[in-house]
Amino acid sequence: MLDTLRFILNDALNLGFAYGLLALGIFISYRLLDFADLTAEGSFTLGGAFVAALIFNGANPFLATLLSIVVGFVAGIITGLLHTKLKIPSLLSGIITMTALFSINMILMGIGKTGKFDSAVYLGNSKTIYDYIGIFKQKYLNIIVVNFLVITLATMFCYWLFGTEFGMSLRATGMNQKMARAQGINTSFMIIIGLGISNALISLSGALTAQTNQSADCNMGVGTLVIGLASIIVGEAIFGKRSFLNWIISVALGSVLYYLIIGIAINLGLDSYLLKLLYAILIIIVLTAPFIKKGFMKLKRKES
Amino acid sequence: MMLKIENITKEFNLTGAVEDRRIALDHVSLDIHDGDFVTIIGGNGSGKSTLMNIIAGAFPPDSGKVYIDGEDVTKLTEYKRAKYLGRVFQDPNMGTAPNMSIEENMELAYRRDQKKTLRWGFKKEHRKKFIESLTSLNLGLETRLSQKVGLLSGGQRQAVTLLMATFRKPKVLLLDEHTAALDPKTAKKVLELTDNIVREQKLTTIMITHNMRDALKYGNRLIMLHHGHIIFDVEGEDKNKLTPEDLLRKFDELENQDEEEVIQTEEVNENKCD
Repeated sequence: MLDTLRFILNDALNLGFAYGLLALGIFISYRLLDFADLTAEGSFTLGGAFVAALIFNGANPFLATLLSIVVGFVAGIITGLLHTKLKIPSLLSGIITMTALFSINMILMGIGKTGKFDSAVYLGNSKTIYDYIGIFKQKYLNIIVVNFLVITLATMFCYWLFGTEFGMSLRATGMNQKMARAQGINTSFMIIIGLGISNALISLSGALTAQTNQSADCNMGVGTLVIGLASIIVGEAIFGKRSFLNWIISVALGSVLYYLIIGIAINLGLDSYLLKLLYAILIIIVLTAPFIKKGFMKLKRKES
Repeated sequence: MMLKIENITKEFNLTGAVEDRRIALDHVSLDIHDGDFVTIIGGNGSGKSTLMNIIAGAFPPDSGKVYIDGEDVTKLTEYKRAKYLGRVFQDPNMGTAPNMSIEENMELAYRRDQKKTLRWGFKKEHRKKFIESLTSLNLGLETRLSQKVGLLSGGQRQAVTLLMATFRKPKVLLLDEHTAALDPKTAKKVLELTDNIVREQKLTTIMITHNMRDALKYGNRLIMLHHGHIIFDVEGEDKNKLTPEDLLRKFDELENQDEEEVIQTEEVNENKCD
């Protein structure tokens, strides 16, 4: 029993913190920019494939991890350009980049191998960033500490960024583009850079996940958008969003809660192939909850 | 000349079928002097909103030019032109960012003519100014700086938007039926506030309105648009002499003209059929 609990907690913490970056990224696109950005599915895998390919070929894992942020940023920028400059609808722009990334990720994972492309990279005994951090003897504890540090830094960065003139302008863009332009804000630029930052975080999330798993594969990003959304919603529901600082901390921690719930569900006998169905149902419940609440309150008012 | 509009034409549905084409502005020219307060009236489809949008740069004209304070801004995008313009919209939700605090909204407006840098967005000395100008509104908003704008009433929002539009003195203030969505009492309050601010800062102002009385009561010049043409333009004493009845009569005349035109074109069409 205690072992099971420890197992669930460990999973929730090391996956939760890594996916916290994903949640922050999706928070930026979905909540702040009001842009349902499907690039996430591709850029998560991109981060994983990129970092794994570089480490597989003997690169420094720290450098590889840093560079994964850059490639994610570029992926987001491409979606932003498709939407703002070529006027492609937002959902479609994300899907286009995601689709293109599928091929690019296969090419990345084929680097240094006999074929031109591959659908997975296994790192075997190659050293990842976690192998260089020796705070604890047990690797899984080091993973948790490193991921916690990264998510803390990312949360602080987001808090600072969205309090600056630029960040305020970006938030205004997501709420009311007409008003933003009337206040001299270049809304296209805000969307492009915002999506860049969002996907940079998501790519970093993928890079950390690949190193935790010692592998990357072309399907690792499937469902990330929904996982990110679920984490945001769970975090908001439990920890609240009274102030902006409170809000982003809730988002960053939401994924830990989310994996705690999933871990418990699996241990209670939920088949793991049903997970995606559970994600979908969870999202439907949470997204419709405000409407149900409103309708409920209306009914109450009528009665009184 | 603070605002010069030169031979502006705008047609909608240009690519559509001929009968769907709609000419919103037909070779319109207009000079507005520094400190003028112009009220614009006109029926639906007269082109008054199109004119406003072309001045603001929301979309480009088919032909013609717009000059603000001598500078040709025809090709300037909406956000770049914003440094010269203060704008208040008809919909009270349009002028502010609902999920941001009053302070944040005002900070954004304070930087309308500046680059958005990575400097921290809040400033203590700004806050003092915000409280000062909010106090002048007499709506009790000065103690609610951190409250979200979305929680304010329509009238309060329009008042805040008006402050935001005039905080940094704009070269031209554009008011697009900014009291049309408010109840009569609130509308009157917001209009009086508008008039005070415009007089105090001697702002060059264009106000679209549906209300004849307001169009006559405020401003020093009145323009009437019809089918994309300026058909009436009075200022000063001549404007003061006008009564709402005069304006209504003008509207009636125009409608009768339209009906005659319709009958004529129908006759022409019938003749063609024969």
